[in-house]
Amino acid sequence: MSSEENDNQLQEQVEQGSHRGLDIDGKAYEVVFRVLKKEPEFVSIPSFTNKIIARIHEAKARKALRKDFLWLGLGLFSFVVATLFVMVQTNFKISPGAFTFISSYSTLLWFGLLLIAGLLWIERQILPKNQKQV
Amino acid sequence: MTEDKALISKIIGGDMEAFRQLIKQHERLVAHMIGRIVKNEEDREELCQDVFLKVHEKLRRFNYESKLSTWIATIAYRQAINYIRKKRIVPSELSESEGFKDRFIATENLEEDYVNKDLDEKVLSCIDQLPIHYKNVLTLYHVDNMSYAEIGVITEMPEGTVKNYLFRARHLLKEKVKKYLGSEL
Repeated sequence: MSSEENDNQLQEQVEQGSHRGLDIDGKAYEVVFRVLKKEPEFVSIPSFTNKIIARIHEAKARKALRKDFLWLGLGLFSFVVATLFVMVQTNFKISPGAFTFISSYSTLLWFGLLLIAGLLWIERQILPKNQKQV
Repeated sequence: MTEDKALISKIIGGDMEAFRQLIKQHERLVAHMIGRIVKNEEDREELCQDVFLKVHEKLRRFNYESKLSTWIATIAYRQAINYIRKKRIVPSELSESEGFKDRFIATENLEEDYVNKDLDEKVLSCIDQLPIHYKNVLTLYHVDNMSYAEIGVITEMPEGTVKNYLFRARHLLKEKVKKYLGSEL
């Protein structure tokens, strides 16, 4: 019998508790098997489960948000496709149309824009900050 | 198995209390698996959390071909192995490299606190110095009382390899203990 087979047999005997020798190999194996049975240090952290549950809820929220964005993207994509489809089908041409008449009143248009911008600036200067937030 | 089925169907139905129960039942097993490999305490806790997150995420795919504990241990084992790969721990740490046995048996730890340790503590320190695969099969077999077949499923190793790793790991530890016993006599 080879020394490996002997050793294997010795391990089995010590594991089963049937080893009765006084040899140093047997004694050493008894120590090894005793120590191997010892549970590694384990400290149950009270918040451990709560942390996992919180991470599951976070993951669910992230997944729901991703789903919302996916639907938004699909909606926008469908809108663009439908618009292009209609434009092709109806032979639609983009033209300024009704807005052409504005070019005759460009001074009036600039005046209107500047007036609105000016009023907004005055509002920012006059109204107190807290009122602006309302 | 029936209990596992009832628990799993509750969790799939969204019962978080049932999931808490599952964590309580298996946190020791996961802690053993991760704890043997990962020494950094913060990483260890986060990895244990990641294991249970994966369990929750994949529970619908559990096919009852093995025990729930075996399946969870498999996830924990893979998570731990991925961790050491990410940390770039050298492959020789995974299994026994050439000349490891001689180095393992001959190496003396001369730190003062080590010299003052009792024999059991010294053996526990020696277990920590073993290659990762050896540590895992030892823990699963001796602490978690798993069979060779179950350990094989978890570690994706043939049963013969599991037996061989167990034998070699215990043999290495025995040789080391012989040295200690010899010096005590």
